[in-house]
Amino acid sequence: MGFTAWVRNSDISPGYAGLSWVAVAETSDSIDGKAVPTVRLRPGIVQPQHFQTDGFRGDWRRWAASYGSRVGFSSIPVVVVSATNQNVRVHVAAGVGVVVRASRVGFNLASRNSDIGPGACNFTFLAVETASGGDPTLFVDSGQVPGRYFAVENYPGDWQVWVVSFAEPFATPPAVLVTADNSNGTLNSYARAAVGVVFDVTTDGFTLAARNSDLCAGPAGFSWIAIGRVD
Amino acid sequence: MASFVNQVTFGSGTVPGGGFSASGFYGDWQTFHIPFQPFMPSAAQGKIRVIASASGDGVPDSYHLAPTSSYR
Repeated sequence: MGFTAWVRNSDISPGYAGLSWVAVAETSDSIDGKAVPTVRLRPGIVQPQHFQTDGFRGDWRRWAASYGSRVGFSSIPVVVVSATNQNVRVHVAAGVGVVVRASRVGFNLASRNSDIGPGACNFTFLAVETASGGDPTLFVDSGQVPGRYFAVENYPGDWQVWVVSFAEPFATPPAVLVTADNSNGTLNSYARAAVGVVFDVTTDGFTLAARNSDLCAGPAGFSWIAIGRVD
Repeated sequence: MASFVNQVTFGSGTVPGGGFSASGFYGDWQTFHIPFQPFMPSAAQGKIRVIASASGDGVPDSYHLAPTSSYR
């Protein structure tokens, strides 16, 4: 059991990139008779930065992020990131993040604007280590939104929006991360490389906005996870 | 209802960098086949959510990219 990641370069230059992933199943089922491994988690958010238009000087931005001293990862965690509009008060750019030099204490984040217009973007991150001793107060909600049709980038309809409600309210707005998917194989075409941006997270839900970074029109759905406290 | 974190199954990993062509050229898409085993229980089939984002580890700074991803 696994998945196939389809990854598209939205950059105007060739190069290299790997992929980090986190899979979540809201079940405590055992594996081969053994309890599922527990995890140590660190959700967080950086400060927004302003990006120039795709292809212009300033379309890349960088951050140095720390997990904080209380987490105490015993090995290098897997870190995934997702764009968000938190603390952004101008046009939100569809930034694409790259985690670089992940370590036990933090990581560097580089991001490139995939959008044809300038704007600001922020990022939520989630660091995950398979280990005991994680924060016992965290709760997880997760789900999918159905596929929608995206126009070719730069044409009307290259942005699509979903409104998502959590199964029950969190005590404070949780960390929310999203990734495009193929709606469990129900799309009538392969999923496009849509860039998801998490908008306006509240205790009750969020708005998922996504922009097609692809040169072809087509559908894409999204998966999401939310991690926070419920009391 | 949200699930208590210790009652949720997590899998995670990083796959090493692959080469991409510039956007719009042959080779601008790459695929990564990633097994969950042994992390995800079979009972969770169809209910697993995957969050993925790019990693630049192992890639020289001047060559890393910002690819977007989807999965199936």
